[in-house]
Amino acid sequence: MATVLRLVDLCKNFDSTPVVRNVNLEIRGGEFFTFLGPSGCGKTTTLRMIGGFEQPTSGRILLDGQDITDLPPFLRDVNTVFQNYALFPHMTVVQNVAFGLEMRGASKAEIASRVKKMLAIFGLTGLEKRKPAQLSGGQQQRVAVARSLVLHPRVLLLDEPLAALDAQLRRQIQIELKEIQKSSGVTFVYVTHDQEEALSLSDRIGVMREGVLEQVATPREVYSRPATRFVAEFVGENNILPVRVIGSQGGDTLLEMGHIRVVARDGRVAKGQPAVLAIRPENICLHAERPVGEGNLLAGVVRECLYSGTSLKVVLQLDSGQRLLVQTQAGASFQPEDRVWAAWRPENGRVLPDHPVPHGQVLPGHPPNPQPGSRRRGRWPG
Amino acid sequence: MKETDRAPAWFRSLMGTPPLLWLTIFLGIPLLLVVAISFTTRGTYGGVVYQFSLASYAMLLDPLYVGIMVRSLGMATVATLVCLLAGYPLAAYIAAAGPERRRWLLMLVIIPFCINFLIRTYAWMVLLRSEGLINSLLMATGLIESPLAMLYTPGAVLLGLVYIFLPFAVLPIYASLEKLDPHLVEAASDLGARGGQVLRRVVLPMAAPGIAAGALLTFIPSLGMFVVTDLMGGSRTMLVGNLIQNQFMAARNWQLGSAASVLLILMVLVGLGIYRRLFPAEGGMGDV
Ligand SMILES: Nc1ncnc2c1ncn2[C@@H]1O[C@H](COP(=O)(O)OP(=O)(O)OP(=O)(O)O)[C@@H](O)[C@H]1O
Ligand SMILES: [Mg+2]
Repeated sequence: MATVLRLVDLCKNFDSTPVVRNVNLEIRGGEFFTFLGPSGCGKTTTLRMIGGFEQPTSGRILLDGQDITDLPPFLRDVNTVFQNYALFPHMTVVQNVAFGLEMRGASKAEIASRVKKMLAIFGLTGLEKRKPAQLSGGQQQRVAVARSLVLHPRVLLLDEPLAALDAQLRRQIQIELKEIQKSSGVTFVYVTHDQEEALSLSDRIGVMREGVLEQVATPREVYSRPATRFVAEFVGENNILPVRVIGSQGGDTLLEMGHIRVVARDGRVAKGQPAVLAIRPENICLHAERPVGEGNLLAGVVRECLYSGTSLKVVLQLDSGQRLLVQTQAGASFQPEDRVWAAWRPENGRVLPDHPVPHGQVLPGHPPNPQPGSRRRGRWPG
Repeated sequence: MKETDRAPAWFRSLMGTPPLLWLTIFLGIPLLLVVAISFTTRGTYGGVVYQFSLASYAMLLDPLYVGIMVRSLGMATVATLVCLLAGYPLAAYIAAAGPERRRWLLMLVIIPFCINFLIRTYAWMVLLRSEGLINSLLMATGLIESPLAMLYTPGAVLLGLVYIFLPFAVLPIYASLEKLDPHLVEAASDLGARGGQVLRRVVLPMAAPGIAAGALLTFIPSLGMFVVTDLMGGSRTMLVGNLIQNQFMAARNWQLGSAASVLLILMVLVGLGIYRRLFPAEGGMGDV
């Protein structure tokens, strides 16, 4: 599909502190694109630049090939759903949804019919005369999306639109949003710090960290082939083990973990560079007996078992002292103090450069690279 | 919390007594006196003769007094409009400023209250009179040949009223603009509204309660003001405030003064009624 929105070397500084750094991105027509990243990484700022509420420090924004960097918001064919919805409190639901069409000078009859259709799509029929204060959180959220979508913009920007809703309602509206996005064909640019939401909704995800777009890929790719250590740690659960690259053999990378040799299928780290091996908990098999045959193997002792209904999470303490999180079937019967072997296939381990900070710089407000071994090893308690 | 909620009735009425007493002594009784006196007969030398009469109200129908009433209403209305027109941009500017700057600007608006308004009015007189600063400057630069008559004109009264009451318009407008979520302005602009449309469709409706409160706070005292009119308008620009003062003091016609007062109070009540109608107690947003 053709590119609808293009960000070229987009930068934003607040008081000379860089908040968005050299973002280059092409978003395709009809795509559901998500900016994913931790709080304060610059997602909202990026979205606000696209919407026209924030002027980039440098770089360009192109909509359908046309440079819109210097256009005011009301001249951009882009609409925003604000995090707090920003519904007009003095207007009814109908007046809110009709506002944009009125501003475009649409005829009364056209406004009435388009608003009515929109309200029906969003299940808001019957609430026409209510003011925003008389709506539930979920209803307000729907009005906010309807108000923007009724204009059928080239791109709809949504800044954490579900953050204020409870978990159940959030899941329900996620599905609705995805369906509406598909049926309307409008390009969605979505912002969230909830990785599950990003994975389940998006066609592509851009993972952001400290203003840098670290990876742009499909949810599957982001999950199974993270481009950086940060992405590996931020999206889903991962075991991050420091390793040394000692060479390559065929398509495989030979690694050393202490004095244990392991193999990974793909690796893009040159010999001698600091590296980590990322292994998903669900890709590790636990064996009570040392398995025979090839494959990567680490020995350890079970420290904790966390039963979650669908699976059993086992926390191992490896002989090297590191911790390893393993996810097995719920039926597995491991007990604390059991001695076990953890095995995984070479294609399930991902070798990544061990740079905590993009491009190796030390960012303001970010501690310099800590000594190996002092960093937390995974994302579970203990 | 629950315990105080269930405080015995006698305790609650006891707690409510001081304000009630205060209102009765300082508002209720004087008001009743004024209303009562307005219906009495004037003695030959200005005393109060306790005999029912509508003579004072009949006197108020005299074109002279009707003129004063109309002029007072007009002057208060114009002063209110000018205060709103000048106060709104100022309030918007303060609300848009950063927190530090905002505190300074607010202080500048409030500082004049620290100086007695009589002194401030005299200062204006010094500036405006024939041999005052402005006229001297204009003459010195050769722009005019003879001094302009600025003091003792209706314009001077208007200036005085606006000067005194401007902060009363600025502060409530500022309070309502400061509460306005900036995202609403952005959302309007996002949906295609240009500056003027954003102002008309979103900002002004949201600021309306503040603007109305500002209007009320300028209109009511402007209507009754007599000091500024006296000092800056001279004897030619008599307004209802001056009339009342005159009747009570110089003319010793308490009956006419009281009747004019009652009329003034009625006009103020009409203004308040309009305000309450437009902005019901809940803030004017939640009606179904
Ligand atoms: N107007 C501003 N002035 C100064 N700094 C700002 C401004 N807006 C944002 N920042 C800073 O820029 C950084 C990025 O902010 P941004 O709101 O884009 O983050 P975010 O990724 O949306 O975070 P969150 O998930 O918490 O919403 C933050 O460190 C924030 O403090
Ligand atoms: Mg944000």
